[in-house]
Amino acid sequence: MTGLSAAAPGGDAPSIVVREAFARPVDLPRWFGGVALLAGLYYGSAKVGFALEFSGPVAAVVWLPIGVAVAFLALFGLSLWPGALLGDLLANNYTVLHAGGAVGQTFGNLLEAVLAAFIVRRLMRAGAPLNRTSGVAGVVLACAAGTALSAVIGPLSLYASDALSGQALPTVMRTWFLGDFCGTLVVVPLALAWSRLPRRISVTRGVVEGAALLAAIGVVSGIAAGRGEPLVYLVFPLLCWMVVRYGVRGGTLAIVATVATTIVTTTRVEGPFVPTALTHSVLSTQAYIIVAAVSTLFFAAELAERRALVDRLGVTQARATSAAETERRRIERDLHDGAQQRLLALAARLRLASAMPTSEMMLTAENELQLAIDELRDLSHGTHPAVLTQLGLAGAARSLAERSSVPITILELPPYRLDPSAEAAAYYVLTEAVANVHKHVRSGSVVISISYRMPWLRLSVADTGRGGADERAGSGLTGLRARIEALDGEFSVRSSARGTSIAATIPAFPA
Amino acid sequence: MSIVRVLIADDSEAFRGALHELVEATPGFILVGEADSGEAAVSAAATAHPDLVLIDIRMPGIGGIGAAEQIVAASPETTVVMITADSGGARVDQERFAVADKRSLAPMRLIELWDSARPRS
Repeated sequence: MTGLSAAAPGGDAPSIVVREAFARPVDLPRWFGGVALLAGLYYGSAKVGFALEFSGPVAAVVWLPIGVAVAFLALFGLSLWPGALLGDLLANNYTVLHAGGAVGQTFGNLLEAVLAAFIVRRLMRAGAPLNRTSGVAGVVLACAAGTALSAVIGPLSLYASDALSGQALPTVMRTWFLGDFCGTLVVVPLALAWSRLPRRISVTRGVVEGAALLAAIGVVSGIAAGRGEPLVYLVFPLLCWMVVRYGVRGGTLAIVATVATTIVTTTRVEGPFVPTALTHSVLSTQAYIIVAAVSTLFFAAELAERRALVDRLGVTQARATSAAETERRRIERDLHDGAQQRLLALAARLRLASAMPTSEMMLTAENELQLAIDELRDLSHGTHPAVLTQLGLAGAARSLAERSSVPITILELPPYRLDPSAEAAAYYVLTEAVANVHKHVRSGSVVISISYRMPWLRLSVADTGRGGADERAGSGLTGLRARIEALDGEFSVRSSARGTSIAATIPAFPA
Repeated sequence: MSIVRVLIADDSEAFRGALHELVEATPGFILVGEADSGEAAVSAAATAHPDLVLIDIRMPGIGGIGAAEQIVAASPETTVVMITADSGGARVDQERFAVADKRSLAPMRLIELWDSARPRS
């Protein structure tokens, strides 16, 4: 382990997790159970679509099974893909399809599910995708990409097996794409949001309000879809209300509520989505579902991001306040125990000397005064060095590097000023570490990196010396640790024959 | 005039030095011990039998007040004067212990303190 690798502690953690996931032996009974469950859910959701007549043998307003497959594979692992294959083979209507066309269509569907689930799993590594706008964009694009694949392969194989005329091909492709896309947009977010259930659900006013809202969304969607005039925009305030009150989870339920009543109404009653031709009404319904789902998801993600940010700021602010309080106490203690006592002693000595001054007394008094001055200077230096006030942490680090006789390379510096106590602590660590290098290394070089990712200021100093730094030996390192830990930060030292590296993490906020 | 045996206790080495010189410069007063903490003051008082203890209120550990209470409990004839550099004197039960400002300490003041604070018998 070289000194430099300590500059990014934990940088290789994700790869360890991945390796473990692959190394885990396959639990066969669990795997069979998963495959059977997926096949059953796939087949069941296909039957629901056929029964409610929003799916036909080659076209669906909303094709739920693909959403089920993507969500299932994303949550429980891609290795369960045979479940999707089995479900799809069972759900095919073989009275309408030729075997060749059915195989092509099934192959397309399987590819679609695996591709979309693969992308969604990648997105999930960085945390719940629906809680951030970039994650929502990723999920939407993953669903669109997988769906596009299937919407090309499926109709083409039907066309090749003469189940479809060339004339109908573009329309079928469009409906296929939009139907599958709608299916994924309804089911995948629902599954992702509810895969980890809330810790407890009790029948409180909040739950009652949520249930009433869902019912209202259903009723309004049903009425809007069943009327001649286009009234569907009436649903949006309710969707927003649901998201504001119940976040991502509420939003995904709201999508299901509006989609369910809209398609049921549309397939049974004439509404704004059924003006003339059937395909036109299907297109309108699909467009509505996509717009409603995507807007709700983005709104919920944006809101979740904002709320997380506010929480984080609150924590950072509390830390900063307590760091300032700690610092204030330290200054008070240093002043009281140090300079104040010296000056009091000096005053007492001068009172004694005033009766009969001797040169020895005056010498002692002057000595005390000099020590008091030194202590005050040390204190103000420790609190906030002048160079830091003038140049900030980045400037002070650069100036330190310029003055150093050992070559110092700076990898990264914070682009803006941070709060004074964090900057002072970081600068203190920097000067101590560089002083140690000068004392012990002489030849060799130093690499400094200071980065800021709210709310953490990370600092690392790595040298190519001969190591041997020992915190227990009562060096300045102990003082550094105390100073960093007083700010709720973390401090670590690693020393080997190839050099010493010091890493500190300090909570900080922009000044 | 009898000899007054004095124990001083202060965690600041600088002020302890000044107290040392103050006691030596005060006629009739002799230094019998120095302590840098409340705990050390209690054990020094047990062996040195001081008449007067000058003790800093603010010290780590049991502190000046805690030490004063133990000293007086062990030896009620000992007079304790709490010395302070700030408003710490407000915390002292002034019925039991005299409080003096570090800024005012000088030989004359020390004699005054001894005269007014020692238990009248």
